[in-house]
Amino acid sequence: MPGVSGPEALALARRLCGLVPDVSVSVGVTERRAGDTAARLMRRADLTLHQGKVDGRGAAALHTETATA
Amino acid sequence: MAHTLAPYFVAGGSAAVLAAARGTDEVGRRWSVAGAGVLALTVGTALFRWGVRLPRVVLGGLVTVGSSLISLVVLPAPTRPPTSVAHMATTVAGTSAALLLLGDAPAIHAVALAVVVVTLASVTRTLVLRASDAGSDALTGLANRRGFDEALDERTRNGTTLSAALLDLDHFKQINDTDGHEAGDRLLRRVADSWRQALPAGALPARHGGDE
Repeated sequence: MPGVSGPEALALARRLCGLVPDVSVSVGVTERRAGDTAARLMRRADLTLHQGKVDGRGAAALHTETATA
Repeated sequence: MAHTLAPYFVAGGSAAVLAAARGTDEVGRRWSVAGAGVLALTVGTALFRWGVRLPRVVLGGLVTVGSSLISLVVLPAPTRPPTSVAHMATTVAGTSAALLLLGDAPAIHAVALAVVVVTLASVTRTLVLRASDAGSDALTGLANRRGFDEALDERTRNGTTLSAALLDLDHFKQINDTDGHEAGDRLLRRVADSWRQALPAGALPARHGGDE
């Protein structure tokens, strides 16, 4: 999502989950940082998603500096 | 036969050059169309000048080349079938009319050429469409991982703000196992449809993995 910050993307993703209330969805969100390649960005989103799943499914998480990536 | 072929090439070449000059498509496509047109014009002119000395088999080959060039010009617009069909009809009608008006080619040759052009155009069109489908997921119609990664690579190059959200359907495997793959497919399509509509313009939805 170009032009969208991390927190905005998280809010958007939560809204998407609300569109399918009968489906449980886990979300990992991350904002691009300087020097990110596409692969690194998606890897961080993936790590955030899986960290969120460990903490409990059906959760939406935004990548924070403390998470490993 | 050479003097029959020459106007065929010149007509096709002129049409291509005109189309390229007026087109609003991608620059790359316009150049390939213009290139095909210039090539056809050159071959047409050469045929007028030296064509009579060429053996029949060479001329036969040139018919195929010319037809391929026309298909090339007709088909760079895979997303607008009415336009490309209209282009092809104009080309076929124009070249057939030129051949018949010139008088030294039997009508059956004009018909044969038209058939060759239409066949080549259809085949090439299918191939182009298939190639452009390689980046999308057949089930949901979203970009697949390959298409997404390519598009994302382009978008991460400039330094603007950009965020990625990876959404994973929980227990999807279970749904597939208990309700069957068809139910799983239906669910994926439904989710993809509702998400696609809700995303802001410029966002790039994709099926990044099985249920991601």
